[in-house]
Amino acid sequence: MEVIMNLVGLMITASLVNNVVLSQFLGLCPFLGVSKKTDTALGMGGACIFVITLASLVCSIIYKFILAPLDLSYLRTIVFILVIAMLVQFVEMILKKYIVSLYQALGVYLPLITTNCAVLGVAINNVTDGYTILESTVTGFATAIGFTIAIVILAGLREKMEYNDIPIPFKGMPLVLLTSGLMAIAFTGFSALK
Amino acid sequence: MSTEAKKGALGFRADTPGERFFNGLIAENPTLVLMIGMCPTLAVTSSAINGLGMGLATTFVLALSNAVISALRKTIPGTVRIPSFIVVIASFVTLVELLMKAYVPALNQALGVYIPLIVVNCIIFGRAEAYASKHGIVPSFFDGIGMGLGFTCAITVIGLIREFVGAGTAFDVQILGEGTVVPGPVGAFLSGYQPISIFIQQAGAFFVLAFLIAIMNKIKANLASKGKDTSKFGQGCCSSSEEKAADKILEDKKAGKEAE
Amino acid sequence: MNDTKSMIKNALILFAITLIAGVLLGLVYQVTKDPIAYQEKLAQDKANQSVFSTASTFEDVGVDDSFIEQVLADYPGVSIESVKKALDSAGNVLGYVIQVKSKGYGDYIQYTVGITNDDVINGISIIKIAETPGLGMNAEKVIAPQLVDKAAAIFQVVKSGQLFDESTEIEAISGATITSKAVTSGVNAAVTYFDAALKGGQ
Repeated sequence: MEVIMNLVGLMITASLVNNVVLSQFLGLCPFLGVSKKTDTALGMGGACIFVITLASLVCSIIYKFILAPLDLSYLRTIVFILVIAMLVQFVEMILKKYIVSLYQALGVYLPLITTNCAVLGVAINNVTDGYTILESTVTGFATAIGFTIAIVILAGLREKMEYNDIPIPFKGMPLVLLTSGLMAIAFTGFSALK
Repeated sequence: MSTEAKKGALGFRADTPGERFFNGLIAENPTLVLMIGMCPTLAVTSSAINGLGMGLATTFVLALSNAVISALRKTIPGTVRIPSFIVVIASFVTLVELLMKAYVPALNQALGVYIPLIVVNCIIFGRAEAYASKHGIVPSFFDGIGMGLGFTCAITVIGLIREFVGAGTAFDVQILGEGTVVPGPVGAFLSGYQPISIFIQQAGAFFVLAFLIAIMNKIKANLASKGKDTSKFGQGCCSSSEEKAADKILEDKKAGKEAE
Repeated sequence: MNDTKSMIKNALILFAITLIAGVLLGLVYQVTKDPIAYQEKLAQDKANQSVFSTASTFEDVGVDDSFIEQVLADYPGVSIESVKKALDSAGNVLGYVIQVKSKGYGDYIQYTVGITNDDVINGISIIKIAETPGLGMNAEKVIAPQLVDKAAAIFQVVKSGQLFDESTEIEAISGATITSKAVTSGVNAAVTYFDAALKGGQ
C-alpha cells in the first residue's frame, strides 16, 4: 500500500508540481513549436509519453546494471544520448512494421523527439535522484503526461488567440512566451498538492 | 552564409577568424538574432553569474567540438554523420562537467542538469551542421568562439535583468533593496526597493524573453522598412524547424483527407 | 555487396570515434578524480565546521539502525545520512553533527545540523539545495537563523506573520512553505534521533 502511495505521490509531483516545461524548462522547443493546433499537440504529447517512458526504463536499466557496477557513471551523458537516439529509430521501425495504426498517429513526431531535451533530462534526473527502475519508469511516464497537459492547454489557448488584435512586435513567439509565463504562474498553484 | 559576395559580416573578409568571431558575437548572435538554444536561455538565467558560467561552458564545448568536427569532416561518412557529431559533442560536454566538478563545484551545483543538457542545445548541433562540417578547422574554431560568446553575452544580460529586478542584486552584489552596498542618502533611497521576485522565478524567464524578442521584432521591422536584409533573423525559436515539420504534418493530413 | 561493405565501414568509423572518445574521457576522469573527491571533502568539512566552529575534529560514529526506523516513520521524505561526534582539541565531546536529506519543493535538500550536548541547536549548514530562486533558495538566510541557538525541540512551521511562540515555532518563508517545512522536519528528525540515540553522550 505504501509503495503505491509513494508512486502516486511521485506521479503528481512529476506531472503537475514540477511540470517539465513550465517549471524545469525542458522540452521547450517542441512545446513552443508544435503547439499551433490541438491536433498536433496531442500527437506530439502521445509520442512523448511513449518515448520518454521507454527511455527512462532503458536508461535506468543500463545505469543500474552496466554503468554503476563498472564505475562508469561519468559516461552517462554520452551513453544516454546514444541510447535515446537509437531507441527512437528502433521504435519507429517496430511501429512501422507491426503496429501500423499507432505509427500513423505518432510516426511523424518520432524523429522530432531525439532533439527533445526532456528525454535526456528526465533520464539524467532519475539517476541523480537515485530512483529505482520502477520509480524511474513511473517518473518518466508522469513527466510526459505533464508535458502533454501543458502543450495541449497552450495549443488550445493559441487557437483562441489566433485572430486577436495585438501589437505587431508581439505577434508570434513573444505572445506564446507571455502565455507560457502566465501558465507557469498558474501551475505554481499545484504546489499546494504536495 | 553570405553567398552573394566574398565579403562577410561587418565588412570583414569572409571566413577569416576575425570575421567569424564578430559574426557570432553581433551579426548572427545565436540568442537574439538566430533565436536558437532557448531551453538553457530560459532555465539558467535566474542570475547573471549562472548565465555567465553556462555561456562559458557552452562556448568551450562549441569551439572545441566545431574544431574536431571540422577536422573529421572528410573522415565521417554522411550516413553516420549525426551519431558521430553526437558522440563528439557529448564527449566535450562530459569533459566540461568533470572539470567543473573538480574546480568550480559551486557553479556546477547551481547549473545542475543543464550542463549535461548542453548536448541537446540546438546551437551546438546547428553550428556543427551548418558551418563546421563544411569549413576548415581555424574558421570553425573561431565560429564556435564567436557564437559561444554571443550566446554568453545575451544570457548574461538576461540573467542580469532578471536578477536586478527580481532580487535587487547584480552579480550577487546587493544594489537595490535592503542591505544595499551603496552608501549614504542614495543608499537609503535605494533600500526602499521591494524586489519583484516573480522575475527570478520561472514565469519571469518567459516574460523577459518575450519582451526581448518583441524588441528584436521591432528592430527587424525597422531594418526591413529601410530596405536592409533581414533574412538571417530567426522566426522566434529553435523550434522553427519543428514548427515547419508540424505545418507539414497538418498539410499532409489535409491532403490525405482530400484524396480519400 | 557494395552496400554491406560501406555499411560496415561506416559502422567501424562510428565505433572508432566512440572508442577514442571513451578512452580520452577515461583519462580525463582519472586526472579529475582526486580534485573532485577533494572538493567534496572540502564541502563536507565546511558544513561540519560551520555548525560547530569550536570543534577541531569530527569523528564518524555511524547511524544506529535500531533507532532510525522509528525516528523516520514520523518524518516522510527525510533520511539521516551520517552522524559525527564533534570533539574539541582536548578530545572532549561537544555535541553531534547530524547530516540529513529532506525532500524539498524541487529536489532533495541536504544539510548538517549541529546539536550540542546541552540540547541546543548550534548551527545549520546547507550543503545542497535546488529550490525556487528568490523563495525556497533563501532557506539558509531565513529558516536557519530562526533555529540556531534554540533549545532542541520539535519545531512547528507557521505562516509568516502568525508567530506566537518563538521557542517552538518557525516562521515560513512567504511563498515557500514547502521548503520551510522540509528544512524544519529534517531538523526535527535530527533532534528526535539525537534524543533517542545520542543524548547524554554515550
